[in-house]
Amino acid sequence: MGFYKQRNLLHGFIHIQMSYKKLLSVLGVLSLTMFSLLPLNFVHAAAITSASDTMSSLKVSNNSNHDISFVTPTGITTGQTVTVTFPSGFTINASFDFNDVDVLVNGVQQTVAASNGASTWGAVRTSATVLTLTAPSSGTPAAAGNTIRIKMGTNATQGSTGTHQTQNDSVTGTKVITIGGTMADSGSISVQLITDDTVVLSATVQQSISFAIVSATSTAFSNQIYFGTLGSGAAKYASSTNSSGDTVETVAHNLTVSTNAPSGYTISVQGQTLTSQQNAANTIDFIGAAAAASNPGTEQFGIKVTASGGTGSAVDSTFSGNYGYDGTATTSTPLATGSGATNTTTYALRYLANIAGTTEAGTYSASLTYVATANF
Amino acid sequence: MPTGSTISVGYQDTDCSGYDTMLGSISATTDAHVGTSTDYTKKICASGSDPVTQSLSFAILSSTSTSFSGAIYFGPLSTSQTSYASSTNTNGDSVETVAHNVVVNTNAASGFSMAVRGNPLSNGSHTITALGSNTAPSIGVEQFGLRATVSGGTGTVTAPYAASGFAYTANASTASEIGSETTGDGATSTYAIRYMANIDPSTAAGSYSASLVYVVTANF
Repeated sequence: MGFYKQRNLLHGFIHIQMSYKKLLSVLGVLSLTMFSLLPLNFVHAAAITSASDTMSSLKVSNNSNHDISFVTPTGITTGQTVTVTFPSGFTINASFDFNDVDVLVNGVQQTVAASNGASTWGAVRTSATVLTLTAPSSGTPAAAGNTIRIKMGTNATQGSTGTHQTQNDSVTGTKVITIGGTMADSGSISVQLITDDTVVLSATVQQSISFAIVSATSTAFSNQIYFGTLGSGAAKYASSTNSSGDTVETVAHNLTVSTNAPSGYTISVQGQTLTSQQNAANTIDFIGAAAAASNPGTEQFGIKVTASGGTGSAVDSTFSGNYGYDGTATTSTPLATGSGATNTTTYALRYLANIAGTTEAGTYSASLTYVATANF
Repeated sequence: MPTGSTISVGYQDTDCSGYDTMLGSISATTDAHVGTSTDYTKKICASGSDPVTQSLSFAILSSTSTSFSGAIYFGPLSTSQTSYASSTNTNGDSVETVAHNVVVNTNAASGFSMAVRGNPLSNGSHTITALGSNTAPSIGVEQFGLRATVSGGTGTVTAPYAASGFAYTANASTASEIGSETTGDGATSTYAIRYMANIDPSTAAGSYSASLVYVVTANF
């Protein structure tokens, strides 16, 4: 009907030119009518888009954070409210307040307080299922097409970190969270609660130590090493491959060790020095606890050790840097230690023998026993 | 129209193409006079649509998609062979095996994201090294990781969990996406999850565990 009146008035307007009296009457009617026909401004309201709620737990009855995100096609003006309404069964913690809420607009962190201000969003737990945000009182809180992000819970870290969460419903199934308020746009977000959202993995690791006497060349090792013929004019070094021994220092064999013992390990050696098989009273003097250099023409039996690989290894001073030996048939002596758990450490052993001009002839041998002890 | 239906109203010049019907016309976009459909060039248009109910379903199931206790086992870890978690063998498996499934179905316009959160295997004082990128199992080297394959629907596996190796980039506070779907197709995507662990000789002894939380977010 309003449209029809408008049309008649327009037609009437054309006739105004014909007489002044008619003009006044028509203008009067026109003004009255125009007063009642208010200017029309179209207000657009729409559904929120790109809406999601990433929860920290989907397990029934668990406390959970919420990270809600949506696009507002219309935007949010000053003082408008944005409500987050959980379905019955959810419970926003009774002590939940603005400290448990972060608000971001297009990725920009907003200031949040108990009530809104010129550039502050207000956040209030309106009820056990409703959070109400109030837009700032000045400026453009959110332009059309902006993304609004609302963090609820311990994931709210702007200012202070939130301490209160929302408890999930105790019933499984699809739950619908509603976004509304006095802002123009509205919508909903569905989440799925399940009986248990957690998978528990279990495994065991046993205590372990691995120790081996191996060749120096990663080949099979018979545990036999040879000095060959000793002479007072030059040193001899034991070899696992040359039955005549070596005239230059050579690695006779290796020891390898690894362990997960938190206090590491100890390797010791025990055995009598080179002893004559024809007369057990005849031995080649062992060097002793103080490592010493080779001295041809002087009776010497000793071992030198170097370490590589692993962590925390230490060669005993008797065997470090030079040659030494202070073990006996009945007493072991520490060779090396590890300070903690380690992957494989390799100890390379070199054996030295020197004789004097008076050293008794014969066939000499020594049987050395190596022991590795883990310290758990 | 039924409850929950949507009526969209807009205006555009000349006609209402793209809309269901024309309601009238307006003289301008603000402070406008309203007329019949033929009075002005700018037309008032409207469309109606029936309500579309949001749908989302998510479940953690056994490898045969039946009810699942949530417990999976590596058993004793070894420096001489790779271990794979099993939901049925408390000693784990020596060959790769599906420990459990995660199934997701939604009609959300922008699909879904499925993620995991939690620390790797730990005995309380030592954590087995998690693989930061897709890596093949290596015996005697500390490793923890998972990988996934997907069947059904249009869901996909997210890197670094899609390739043939294993990875794990989440922790107790940060989730890592395992799979996603760009448009909800209303069909079920089934993710088959496999877990792998290796240790080295120095890996501390003890009982290890990991509690992994799975989260699905639909994007409406």
